[in-house]
Amino acid sequence: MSQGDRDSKMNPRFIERLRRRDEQAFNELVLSYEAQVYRLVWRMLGNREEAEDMTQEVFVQVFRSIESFRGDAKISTWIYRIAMNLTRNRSKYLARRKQNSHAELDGAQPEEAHNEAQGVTAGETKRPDWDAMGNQAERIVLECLNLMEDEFREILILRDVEALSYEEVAAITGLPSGTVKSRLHRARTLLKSQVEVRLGGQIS
Amino acid sequence: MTDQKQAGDIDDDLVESERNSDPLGGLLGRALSDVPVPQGSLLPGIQHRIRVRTKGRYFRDRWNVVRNPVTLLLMTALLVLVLAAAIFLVMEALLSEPEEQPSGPEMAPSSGSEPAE
Repeated sequence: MSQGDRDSKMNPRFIERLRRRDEQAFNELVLSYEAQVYRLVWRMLGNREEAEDMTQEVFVQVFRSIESFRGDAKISTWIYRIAMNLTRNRSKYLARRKQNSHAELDGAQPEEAHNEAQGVTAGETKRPDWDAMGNQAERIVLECLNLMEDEFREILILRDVEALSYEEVAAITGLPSGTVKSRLHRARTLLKSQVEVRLGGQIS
Repeated sequence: MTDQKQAGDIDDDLVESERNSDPLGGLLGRALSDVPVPQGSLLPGIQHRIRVRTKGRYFRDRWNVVRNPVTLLLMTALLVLVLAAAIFLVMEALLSEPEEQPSGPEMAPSSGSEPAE
């Protein structure tokens, strides 16, 4: 089923069924979008188990807060927005946990570790699935992507990997369209320069 | 410079950047194209989570054991009452069963022809 087919199926009557907590309608919604959501979440977290868990959480959240869907955007965009918010939080949590465990192993006080982790970015999160993927150049791209700030990485994934429109990326991230464009530009420039440093030459 | 300030004059740079970044975009797309397949549909897991968090209000199934605690308590109390009533009835039936009437000539009802002592 194409994205267009999926979205056209989500007509106002279907949305009304979802609002009434119609279980059959909700099952259809999950079956229509679970693969897409899982793919996006995996691309953000780089870990199959985490992605499965997070995808389930996304749909639980969709079920809980379907009343807040106003219908002025596509439901897929709204679901993606939930997915992105939850993934961002999980990513930060994983980064904090990793930092805490490192601090404990190093003999630091947990309190200090917590304080140090306050400003941690998800860019420091380990993404185990990425370690064994692709050829050398692709691995380098993933390593550089892993080190980027969340705000850059998510825009790159939404636009350059998921191939969403600027308007959709803006709706998902909650940013103005102009900000999306400028941030994307900076993210690409940053990623390109880092990859080229690691590769020792221009990307061809 | 903030994102908002840049946004106004970014379009030209952006076009250039997108044109130049095609190889990078391709590399990025290929690097993240091999998504591991989840182990089956995630729907049963999602239904289970909703069932647990709504205390069985939604996605209840035939074998569901997650129920409202009050309902569970009332059902248990009712079951105990029914069991107690059943045991009481059975016991009462057993205890109140009439003793078997002895029979035979020696126990025959006495008549007026008994020999006088």
